Amino acid sequence: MSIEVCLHNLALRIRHLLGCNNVSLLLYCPEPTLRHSLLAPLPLFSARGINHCYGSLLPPELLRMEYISALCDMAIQTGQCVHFMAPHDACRDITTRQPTSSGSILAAPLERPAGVLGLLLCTDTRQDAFQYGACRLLEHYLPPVARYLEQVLADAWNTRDIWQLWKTPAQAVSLPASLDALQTPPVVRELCEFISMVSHELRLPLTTMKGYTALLQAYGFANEQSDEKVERNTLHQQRYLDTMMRQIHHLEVLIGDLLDMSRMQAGHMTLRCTKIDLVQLCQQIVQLTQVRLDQQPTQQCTLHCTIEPDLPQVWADPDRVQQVITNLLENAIKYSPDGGLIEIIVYAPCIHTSSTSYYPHTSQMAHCALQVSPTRELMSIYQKEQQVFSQHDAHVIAITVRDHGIGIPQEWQSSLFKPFTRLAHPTTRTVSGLGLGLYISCKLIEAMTGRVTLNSCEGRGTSVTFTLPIDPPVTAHSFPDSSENAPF
Amino acid sequence: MRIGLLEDDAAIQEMLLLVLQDEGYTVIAYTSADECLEALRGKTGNGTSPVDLMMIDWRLNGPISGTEVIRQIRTILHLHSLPIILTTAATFTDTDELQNLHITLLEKPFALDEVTALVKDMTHSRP
Repeated sequence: MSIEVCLHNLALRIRHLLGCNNVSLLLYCPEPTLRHSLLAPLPLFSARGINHCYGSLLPPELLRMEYISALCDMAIQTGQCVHFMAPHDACRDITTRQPTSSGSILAAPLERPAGVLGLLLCTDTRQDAFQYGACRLLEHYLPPVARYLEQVLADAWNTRDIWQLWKTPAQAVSLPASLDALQTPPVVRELCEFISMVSHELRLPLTTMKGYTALLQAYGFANEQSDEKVERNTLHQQRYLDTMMRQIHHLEVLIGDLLDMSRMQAGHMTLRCTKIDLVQLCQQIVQLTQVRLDQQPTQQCTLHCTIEPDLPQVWADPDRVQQVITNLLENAIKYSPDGGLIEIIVYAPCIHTSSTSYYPHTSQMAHCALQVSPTRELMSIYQKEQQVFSQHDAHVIAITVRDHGIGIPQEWQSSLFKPFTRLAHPTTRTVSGLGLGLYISCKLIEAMTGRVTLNSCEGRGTSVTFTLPIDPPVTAHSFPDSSENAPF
Repeated sequence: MRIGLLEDDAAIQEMLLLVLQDEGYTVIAYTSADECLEALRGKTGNGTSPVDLMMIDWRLNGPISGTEVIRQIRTILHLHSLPIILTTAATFTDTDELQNLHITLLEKPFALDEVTALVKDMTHSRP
């Protein structure tokens, strides 16, 4: 595919994403100090690069308007989307070139660390076309779009196609009539798949909540009925409300994961670390989870928590540790379709008895459920997990969440830590969720200077172990800007 | 009037059971695709289908999807014209596939009166 078609396709996809009339991709930056080096050979026409406009080809006079050029400059200087309701002659139906009575314009800069590559100029005849939601949606995906554009131009530079691009004014290219026939840029295809997946996951709990609310509205409040009917209705109401509350909780978790993901990508998430008692925390989580499991007749899992006594406190964010353990437990439950035992084990992995030998604690254990010999239990864990620990783990506490479910094939194990990745297995096709749990858990633990390891055997279960430091780190830690690790 | 229900989400299944039973329908809830297909392959005493309408969720427990179940149903001679409602939270873009299978799509989240109206419409009769 030629570079011109790539750029036209990109603009067209953005247009379909926003649902607006026109999107133009302009390769230009009037400010030399901000301009990307890939734009360096681009001739600077007095009409401000109108020859390098892709997607909806703008009439030259539009870009010469003071109003429009000020909008573009503002977007480039601030690095943010800027939008206004536009005067009528600025919003034209591109196909007919007829001015419309009113409309709106949005300018979005395409910026990379090396400089500004260009601008997306979006127009629509509706005044409210670029409301808060549309702006935020576009802002969120500007970094991967800019990254893609930089790659396209860099590839063209390497193959010398860039010289042809700069020499030739952009022209309308004939694109396929059907959007599906376009070769979609990977970043936009993944964007659409992401939105589709998220909307699917959000719709499911909404279906239950909508239905049960309707049942409560229709049948929930019995008047002038017998005592027996009133009692039965009260039981029904309670069951409907319990079901709705479970779905609300599920929605909260989904949306929370999406927000965490977004904050991590933007480097805006900080931790509130303090000394925490893992014993109390784990016991609480296990009790809450077991209560929830007991309410679900279809799944019979048993939780078993083993905690080594006299463990020191750890330095961590208690809410985030709870989130991680809960995530790992949820995964263990999801991927144990036949029920069974799920274990949480908390222990100090290493004691230096000499410079070269490492042994686990063998003292008596505190149990939350079932009776298992503590020494055998710990030795069993140590034998399975020993390859995980080294002398560098002398000052950490380890938590292992282990199930005896379907396990994970070797070839899948590393990719499960990537966002939006779920294990594909015939018995778990209906497992809900966005595939963010392991990714978020890993990032949270790493931010708390711990580490996460996975040990699994297909058909025999999985154990996920993470460590937390006993002492606070030397320097304060917050999430770095992880834009390079963005999903796209 | 008998309605077959193949839905893996327990809460949604119970909700549909309540609503349809309250409308006077006899509802047969299947726990798996295999159970559903086996039941449908068996005929009633007078050689007709054991149900008058099927509601099938697109995403099911097990290796096959709701649309695959419907394809297999359509291969059964006495079920060629069985009214089928496919429920889903996904966005279907392949409308040709839906047309070829002669099914009606009901997108989640749906309103309960939407369900009852659709069932009445497809069965052309009161229960």
